Amino acid sequence: MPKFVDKDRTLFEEFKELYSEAQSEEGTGVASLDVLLAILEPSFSRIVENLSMPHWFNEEVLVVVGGEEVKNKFQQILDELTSLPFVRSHPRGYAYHDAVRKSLFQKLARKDTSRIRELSQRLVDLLKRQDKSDDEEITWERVYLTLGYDETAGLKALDTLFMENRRNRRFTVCDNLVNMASEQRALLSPEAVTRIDYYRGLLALDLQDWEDAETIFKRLVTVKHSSPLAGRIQLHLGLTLEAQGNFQRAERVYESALNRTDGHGEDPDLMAKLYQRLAQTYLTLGDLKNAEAHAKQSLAINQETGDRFGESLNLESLGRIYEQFKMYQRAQEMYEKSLALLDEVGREFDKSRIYCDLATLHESHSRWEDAEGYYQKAIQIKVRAGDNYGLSFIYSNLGNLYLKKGEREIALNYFRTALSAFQKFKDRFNSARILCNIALAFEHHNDITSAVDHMRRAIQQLPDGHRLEASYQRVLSRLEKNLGKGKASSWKKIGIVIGITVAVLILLFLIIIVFIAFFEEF
Amino acid sequence: MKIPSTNILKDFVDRVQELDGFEKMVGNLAKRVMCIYGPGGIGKSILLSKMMEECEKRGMRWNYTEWRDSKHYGYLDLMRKIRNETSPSLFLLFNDRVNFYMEPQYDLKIQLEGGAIQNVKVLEGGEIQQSGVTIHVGHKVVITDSEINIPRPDRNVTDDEMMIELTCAFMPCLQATVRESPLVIFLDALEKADEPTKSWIRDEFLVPIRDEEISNLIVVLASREEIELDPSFFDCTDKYELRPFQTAHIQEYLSRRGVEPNETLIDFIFATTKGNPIEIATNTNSLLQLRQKRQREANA
Repeated sequence: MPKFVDKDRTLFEEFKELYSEAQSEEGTGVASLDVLLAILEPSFSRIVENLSMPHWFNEEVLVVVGGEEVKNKFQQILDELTSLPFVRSHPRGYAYHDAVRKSLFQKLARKDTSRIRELSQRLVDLLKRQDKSDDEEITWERVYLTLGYDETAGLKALDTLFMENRRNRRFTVCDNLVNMASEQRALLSPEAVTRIDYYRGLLALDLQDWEDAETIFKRLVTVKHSSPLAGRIQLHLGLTLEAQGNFQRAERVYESALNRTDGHGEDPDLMAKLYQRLAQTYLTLGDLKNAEAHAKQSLAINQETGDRFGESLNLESLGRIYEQFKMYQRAQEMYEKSLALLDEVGREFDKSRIYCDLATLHESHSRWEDAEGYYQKAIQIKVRAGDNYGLSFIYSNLGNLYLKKGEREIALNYFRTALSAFQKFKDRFNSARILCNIALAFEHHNDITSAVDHMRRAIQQLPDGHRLEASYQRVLSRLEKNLGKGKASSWKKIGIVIGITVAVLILLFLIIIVFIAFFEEF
Repeated sequence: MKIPSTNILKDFVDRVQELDGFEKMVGNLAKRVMCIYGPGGIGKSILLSKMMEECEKRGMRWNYTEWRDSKHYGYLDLMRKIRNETSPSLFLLFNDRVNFYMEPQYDLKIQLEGGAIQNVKVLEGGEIQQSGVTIHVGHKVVITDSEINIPRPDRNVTDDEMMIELTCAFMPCLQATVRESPLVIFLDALEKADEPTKSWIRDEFLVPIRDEEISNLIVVLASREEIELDPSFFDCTDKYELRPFQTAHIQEYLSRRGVEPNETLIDFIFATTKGNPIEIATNTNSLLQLRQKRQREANA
């Protein structure tokens, strides 16, 4: 390998010198990047830094962040930029490698927030001028950049976009928005950061990542802030705990949220929701009196604010509570009122749930025909909505109904249809439940071998470490024991039959001998 | 489609093993899934660009999707993107199903009487065949995706159900797309994808490829994190962890960039960058910039 010529050695020494200077806290955290920024012409170096703000750039963006310098020698600057090793093509022009972009932006956020604010505004103006409101990526970029110079407006736009996409269950978009907003953390107030974290918690809750959701909401609950967000954070922490089956902890969280909001009646919607969740939690915990009291409180608020859908949910809860109280007439009244309200607000799909409640109510009175009628109404709604998955729950209930009626074959048909649907949707838990039902149906008809077979399959289907595993194992042990007993008793019966036959034969033999001896004597 | 990172592709060095693996893969299609992983800046995207170049040389079709900070793809976005960039006319069944879940009051145009959608085959020309009965839709019915992203309010089905049904409709269309000639799908920066999308790729998209229900299709996945696939993928998957460059690679790179390689310089670059390719490239740029600067000063 050739040695340095003097000229190259001097260059190398200078390069080394720059490298040792670059190892400071002022920089990007990546020495090679700091050296490059130090070597580049200061005006060009500034452009390189500025371009770390948007997620991509094209000629127009370059003009906005480069100013006069770019106008004079546009093509030269663009060529220099695209020769940088971290600049790559992008569907909208060019983009930095994301790791480099992050390092450059962090340095800028530490060093010069006013530059960020000024340029963000100019970039937002540019995007507004382009008027591509139907282009989602541009809309998200605008929200992200707005957060860089106008926190209030940025948060408002973020909230609208996030909630709209959450309602439409577009969780990938929500995830995208939260991540983009988080990039601006260094420039935001603690309240704004809390709000972004709250969105992250909601997303984890929607994606059923309970552990993550709980960690986020628990951390946010301990943060002291006077924001009205506090109650919402507690509400969602409670929902996360409920989803995990921690009803007692959920109850404490809801109670504490209610205490916090006492006297702050400015958010009746939140209050109504807290009372409703408490009613549901108490119902699950078997505290019916408290459940009733809280459902009524929620109902009163919803009636006052005119939230008809909220009212229908309250009435549904009350129906379930009265059913538990064995006040069947009142329960039915509540369900019917709830149905009427759902009709009023056009929530056809939610009616299927109430029909199922009514069916269960009639089923508990052995009014099989009425129960089946309501299940059929629920089925019609599910079929119209194309909800195959929801349909399989009703088929499972109908299976149980026919089992109670003693019509095993029809019951098994319903169970098998439900099972194939659950398996198609890879719902292992509900597949296991159906298999368990089938096993019990077989046991009911003394087909213990088939019962054991289905119970074994049910245990195999259960997700690993599921809480039902122990109880399913107990059922299997019982069935296996019965099977063993059944086998033993069969052998016993065979033994007795053989014993009796042998005894009869011996007796006959003895009688014959006695007769022969008797006749020989005569 | 334009190959990304073409501006730096000419300076590409190393990754011989990975490229050999890819060439074998596209040559005999015995393995059908390639996983590439390594930290940021290690050169995953540029390696994918090199592979795309290889596809171009062979006249092979390819499709590239990169998850970016400003654009994450969900499973439906990804299916739509693959459809739009391959053979849209073969995706009528899929379009029909998407519209069914997204467009209010939409009724299915392709009725599969009595059969499950999993048994459907899409033939050339867009004919739909199911349970031995062919439904001719290719020339008679045109179904375009209404491109609505919001599930229709009158069809309140679960996300899982929608995902499974749409995938069941997408797969036969994709199979029809690759029937005549192979296709390589590159999915880059997967670490940015959200968990439902990752799990869709793992559990829904790759499974028919593993089981050879779809032939002629290769998928290359690149991520910062190691991509964990089920052991059942062992036979059809190649996995590569990209390692930092060694001094020999730095020497080759410097030569390509027009910098006289020198042991002291190479050692210095190796020590300061720990072999990270993007940093090596940045240092080389700095050196070249410094040299030009000094030359300009000397000329002045």
